[in-house]
Amino acid sequence: MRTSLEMPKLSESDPRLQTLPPLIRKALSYDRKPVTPMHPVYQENKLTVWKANSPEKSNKVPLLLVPALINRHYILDLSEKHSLFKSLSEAGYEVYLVDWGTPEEEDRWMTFSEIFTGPMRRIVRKVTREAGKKPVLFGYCLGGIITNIYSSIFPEDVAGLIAMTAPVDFSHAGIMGLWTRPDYLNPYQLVDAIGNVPPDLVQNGFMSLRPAQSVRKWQSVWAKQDDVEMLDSFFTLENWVNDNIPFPGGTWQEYIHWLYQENRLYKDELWIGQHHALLKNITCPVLNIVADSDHIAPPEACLALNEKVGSQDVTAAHMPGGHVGIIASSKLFGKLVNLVVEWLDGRAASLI
Amino acid sequence: MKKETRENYVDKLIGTYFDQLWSNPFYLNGMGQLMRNNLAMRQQWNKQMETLLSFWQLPNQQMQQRTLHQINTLLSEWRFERDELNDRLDAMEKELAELKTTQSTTQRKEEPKRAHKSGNAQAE
Repeated sequence: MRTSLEMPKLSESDPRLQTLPPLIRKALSYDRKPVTPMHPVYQENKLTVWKANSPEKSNKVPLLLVPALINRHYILDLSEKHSLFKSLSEAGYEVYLVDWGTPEEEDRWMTFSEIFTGPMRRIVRKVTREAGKKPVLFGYCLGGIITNIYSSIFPEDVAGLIAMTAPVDFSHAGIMGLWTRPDYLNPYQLVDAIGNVPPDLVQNGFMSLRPAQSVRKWQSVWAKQDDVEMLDSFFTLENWVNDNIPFPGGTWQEYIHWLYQENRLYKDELWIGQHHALLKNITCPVLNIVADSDHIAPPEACLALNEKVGSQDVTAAHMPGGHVGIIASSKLFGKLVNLVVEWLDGRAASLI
Repeated sequence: MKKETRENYVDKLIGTYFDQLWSNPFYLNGMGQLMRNNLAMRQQWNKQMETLLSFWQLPNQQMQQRTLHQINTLLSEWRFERDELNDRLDAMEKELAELKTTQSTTQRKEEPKRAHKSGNAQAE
């Protein structure tokens, strides 16, 4: 599906562009370049697990970064200055990154439970085998929900858990929680009618949460368009924001029904196949990072993880900023990396 | 403290307006009903197509998708287990080769001693 930014790419030196304002020139010529050198270590169906080329081997605990299913994985490897993948590998950790790939029509039959007992289980087993140690799972957004649930059903596979902006108590899910109420939305009907959930539906939902911002950002970037570096980081993020993928229908309908509508994870009523997803089963060290101005995963919804896990070592970290700003903002990114590295280094002994 | 600019004020106003609109039960009920009706029409269309295809004994789109998904799942499981087994076999072969090397080195070290002993025994 084409989005507003997916237009024919022109070279920046193209003579046709030279008379245009810098903002439009950049919009027409922007092309994402890969950031961190990496190689695939595992592939199945559409997903790929990437490993940073350096360090090849490390005595430290391996990290498995799990992004959301609905976004491209490169939010965790956004640009030279904003790559969590790169920063953590530079800190000496073997870092693995899950790229869920782009679901196709047949993937509408992938259920929410299957994610855990199928691909996720195989990814964790593969990483454990590859690194020779159990990994620390680092989940962002929906990826955080996946890692939380996975750690609760297979706690023996996980050395530690870092959940970033991952809601647990969906009764505090804000306006998203309201929109997904059974009175207004029947997720099974939607999937039965249209299959996979189109990216535009999810994207427009997010944009509607802050309608003024989506106009204002263009106005503000227009005023500062002579700043080449700012323009580059703006388009890097904007490209990612608009580069969404369909949500596998079967996964989405259960995700909405079980978590948003019935809040089963928080109420200890979530079953993944034959596994009871009890957060108290998580006994490894836990770092829970919340963004104070997050309107997609409000802090109250995320902080519930701390009271539910069975671990003795639970850290809650508050970061200023919003859901995406926490990882994409120049001001916050350094803080985030320091926070994660300090937490990991401080637990070098207990994480293995 | 953040300075209240005109833009911030306008943004806040627009934000408040949409927050109120999108949390208004009348609006949500109306939109929900509209969506349910549209989806019901789509479902009806899908059902008609299914009936038509089954009349000609042809598989419908859902059947094909489901089968393809099952094939993908089985293939992923099979490939993973096969690779795991191969990895384990490789590791065991390596271990075996190392053991053989160690054994032959130990034997070679022990052989002269044995030969010496047997020579003595013959002399005795």
